[in-house]
Amino acid sequence: MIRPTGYLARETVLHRLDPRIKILAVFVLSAGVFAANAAGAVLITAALAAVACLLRVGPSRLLAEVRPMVPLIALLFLLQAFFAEGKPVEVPLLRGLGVSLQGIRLGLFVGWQFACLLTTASFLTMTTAPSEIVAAIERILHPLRRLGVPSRDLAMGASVALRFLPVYLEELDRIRTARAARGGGGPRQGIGARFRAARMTAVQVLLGTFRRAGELADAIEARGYAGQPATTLRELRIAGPDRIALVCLALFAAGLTAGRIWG
Amino acid sequence: MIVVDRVTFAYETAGAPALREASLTIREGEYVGLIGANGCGKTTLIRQLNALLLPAEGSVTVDGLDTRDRAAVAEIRRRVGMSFQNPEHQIVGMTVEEDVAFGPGNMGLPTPELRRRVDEALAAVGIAALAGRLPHTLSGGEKRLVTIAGVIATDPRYIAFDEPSAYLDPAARRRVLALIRSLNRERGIGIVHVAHDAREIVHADRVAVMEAGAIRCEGSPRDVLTDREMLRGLGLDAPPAVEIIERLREAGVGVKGGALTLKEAAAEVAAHIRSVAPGGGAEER
Repeated sequence: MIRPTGYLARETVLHRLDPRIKILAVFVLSAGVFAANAAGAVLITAALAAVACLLRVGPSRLLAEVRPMVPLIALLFLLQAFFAEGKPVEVPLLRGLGVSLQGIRLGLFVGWQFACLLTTASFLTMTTAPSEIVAAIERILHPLRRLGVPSRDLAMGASVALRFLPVYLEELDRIRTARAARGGGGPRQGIGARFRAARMTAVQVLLGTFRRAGELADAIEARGYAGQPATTLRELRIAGPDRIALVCLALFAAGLTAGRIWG
Repeated sequence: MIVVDRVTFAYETAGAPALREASLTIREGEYVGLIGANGCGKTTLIRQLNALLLPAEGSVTVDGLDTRDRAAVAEIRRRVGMSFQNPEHQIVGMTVEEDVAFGPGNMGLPTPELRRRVDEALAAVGIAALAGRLPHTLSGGEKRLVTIAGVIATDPRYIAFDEPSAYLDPAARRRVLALIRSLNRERGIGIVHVAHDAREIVHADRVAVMEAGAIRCEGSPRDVLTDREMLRGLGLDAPPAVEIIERLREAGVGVKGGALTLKEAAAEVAAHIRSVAPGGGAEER
């Protein structure tokens, strides 16, 4: 099953919030994660746990979101553990490797930061349909139109990319199956053959893209698109819950800042 | 009224012109069938109708608006909807209803009106149940219906269909063809229906045949589509009803020509059998 984004089809308060507020929350949390000290880390972890409870998302689902990035997190941890400055630990197995206690602590912190960023982003995609994210980004960029930022074109591009992502995944699958059916691309092939196969696939997908792009551009134009602002089925409007969310967000940011100054 | 007046057009990449002094008129509420072999310029011609392509020579006007007038292009595209051959490549929304809202949204309609238009278009096409679906999960027939709903939602005066039955199984094909007819009859939308298969346009008000970038002939379906030799010369098949009647006549059976549908052909054959059977109006077995 192809799942471009992990949208959760549930009706929670977070689903109904204005997507702009949620994007703002992602920024606040990300900034908090980067600037966090120990107190901030506790506060942020608690906030993320609260959101998970609100969404009724269990630890296994969260782990699944983070899992693809685990090798990277592990690498970051090891880099910190080995190369951060500090007194080397005198444990039998690790002696002489240059691993320091400070390094381990820093590595854990960096791993936590990374996991938090991933979780935060997952919460956004779990509660917000891709089209809403695109609409929100368009509205956020809208004031920049005067500076020549083509906000509608950017949003249109993003939305077409999201629309065709699953189509491409299916196409890749088809090409791979077709090759396998003709006896190519098994796991026993050498690196060279696999590389050639990957190159062929890339060329095929790319050619398909160019063919599709021309037709798509015509269709978009024929349907009256000319980069002008357009209306959508869901109006973005700040309502009561959004205001409450904004206040919560402001308090949270204030708490983090206070923790940073006095903590 | 859409008037294509002696339009000549060549693609930049190709030497030979794709259209050579092609002329065609589509009146309001009229159903025009356009038939021709591959590469004869049908698609190029209908792309002229909504200013996707502009004539090198000659002119195209939609209700008096010239397609070369840049200021008129937005209005022309409101009036002339277009359904392309491959539905996959014209769905841009991430969900069905968002896609249907794309055209009217570009017109800047307020959200409640947009919602009304989308719901109405989905219901008219009979796919209200698909509103929230993701495009890549739809069948070919459903994708075609989505694109038609997207065109209806903009409330056009004319719609050009480029081989609307391509990629469809027989049931989906029948459904789409019936839908196009009802758009013409019930809403009075002018239709240009590009087809490979003469069967699909036997009910048109008028049929035009294209050859090498020009209109070879046009007239009522009964005049044009029963000319089996002419169609064959262009690499096209006459409708099956015409084929049956002509073969019977070749075999020396004295049936009357002129039937376009299988129903009409059967009636002709039945009438002939009755007329030659002993006792005149004997019951058929």
